[in-house]
Amino acid sequence: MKRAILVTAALIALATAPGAAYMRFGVSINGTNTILRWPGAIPYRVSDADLATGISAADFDQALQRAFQAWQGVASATIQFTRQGFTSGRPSDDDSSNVFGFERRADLERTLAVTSYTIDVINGEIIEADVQFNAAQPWSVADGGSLTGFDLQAVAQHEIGHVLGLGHSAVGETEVSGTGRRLIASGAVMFPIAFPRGSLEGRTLRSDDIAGVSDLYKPASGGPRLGGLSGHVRKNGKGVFGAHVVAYGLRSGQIVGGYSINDDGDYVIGGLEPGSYVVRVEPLDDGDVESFFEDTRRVDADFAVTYYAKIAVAPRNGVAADIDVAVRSR
Amino acid sequence: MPVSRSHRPGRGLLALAGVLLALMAPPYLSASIVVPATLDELAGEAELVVHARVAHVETRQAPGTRRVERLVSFDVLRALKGSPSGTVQVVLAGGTFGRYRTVVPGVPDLTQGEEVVLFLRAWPARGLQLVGFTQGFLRVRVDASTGERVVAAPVAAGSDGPVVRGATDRGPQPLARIEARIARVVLAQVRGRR
Repeated sequence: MKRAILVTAALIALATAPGAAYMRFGVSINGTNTILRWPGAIPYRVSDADLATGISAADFDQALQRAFQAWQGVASATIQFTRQGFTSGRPSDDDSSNVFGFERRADLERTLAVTSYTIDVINGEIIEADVQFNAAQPWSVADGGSLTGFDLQAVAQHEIGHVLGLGHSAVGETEVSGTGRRLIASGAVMFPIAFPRGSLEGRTLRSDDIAGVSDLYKPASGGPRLGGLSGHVRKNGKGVFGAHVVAYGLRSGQIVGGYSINDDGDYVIGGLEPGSYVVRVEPLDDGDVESFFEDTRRVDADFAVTYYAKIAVAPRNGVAADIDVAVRSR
Repeated sequence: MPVSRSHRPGRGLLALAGVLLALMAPPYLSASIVVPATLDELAGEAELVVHARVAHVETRQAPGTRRVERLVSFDVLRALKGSPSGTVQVVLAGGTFGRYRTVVPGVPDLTQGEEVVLFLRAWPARGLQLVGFTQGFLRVRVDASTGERVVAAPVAAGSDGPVVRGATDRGPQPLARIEARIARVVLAQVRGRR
């Protein structure tokens, strides 16, 4: 079985994978940039080795199943998870299994959950992908939410998005109140900051999440013919790395973000419903840049918000090019 | 707004797969979900706050596993809170060792000589840990035009309201300003204990 999992979990080289690559995990395999994508059903086990206060193994399992179902329910993507039952193993074990479980990590302050991968960089196999929920944090599985804990299903949905290969979205807004900061609106389950306790907002996949996973797991046939936008973000004639590019659908209401991800300032936003979009470019200057990029040395967050001067049109089954935006220093 | 002709369907289209996209796989993005901290909260919750330089990065496998981690040694350039020795060490998950790569997205990549500001707490059996996952890690850069050390700082407390990207008060801040803010928080904390 383990061997089967390893083979099934092989990374797909980007050159052979369709679609754009703006919000995906990328790793270097034998010197080739590849994106993380599972070619078939994704097996997982549920750890009952440790649990959070007030959360039973059954509660945990059911919350996970609802979270998996939310992703599997995206009509424009082909995603399948295979539950392999409970395990006494822990997410931190090196066991060649994908394990979702609680571990008590008081040292991971302010951290609700973490996803990790171990990858064979020679043959590209994902040896395992694990999700660790922090049992030191307060949790809730109440249908209507509870002010006493963070909603387990919502956080699970975020982490499952990572297991699927999605990175963090920057489509969200926070506010400062007193000495603290909190999330007030999010256009993506994949926003890296959790909603406050009691909120159920994170249970609903948003257009940004759906676009990303639809782009990554296009149905082999019969799926909707989606479109995309691409171009460059430049400042003083040079490409900007790490700009956040957001497409606002005038008719669809979609809000989908992407990033300029190289020194030429290239960006691609895929998974868009065909139609007209306003394109806005903004700096990632409101928080933890490390949560978006591994190498943040080149991220340029010193420019003013800038709009593409025209209406951009995402074509059906294609990607519009040259949606270029020139930004200026503040 | 006029519709851009070159962006109408059928014109200026790119094939979905191909060389361009092959160049666009980003280094991993990130994978944790956190409760956000303001700069003031980071400074208040940390036991140690240091401006430091990466002295050494030792990549290794966690004992008995294929998981890769890094033992990072930092030379302390300036203690902003607490009384650290001249060097502090932090174990960060992730890295490549032999044929194995462990990816814990959100954990920073570091190289020797880089300057950082770290917000740290000591934990039994785990040693020093960053406060708030990667929130407790600020990379120090040198502004190419001024030569000044700057930091992409977290949001600070005291200005209630939405955090607006691109606002004139956002963007990289001088390290000296960040250090002064941390010093104020630490001083207030000390006074509060008296």
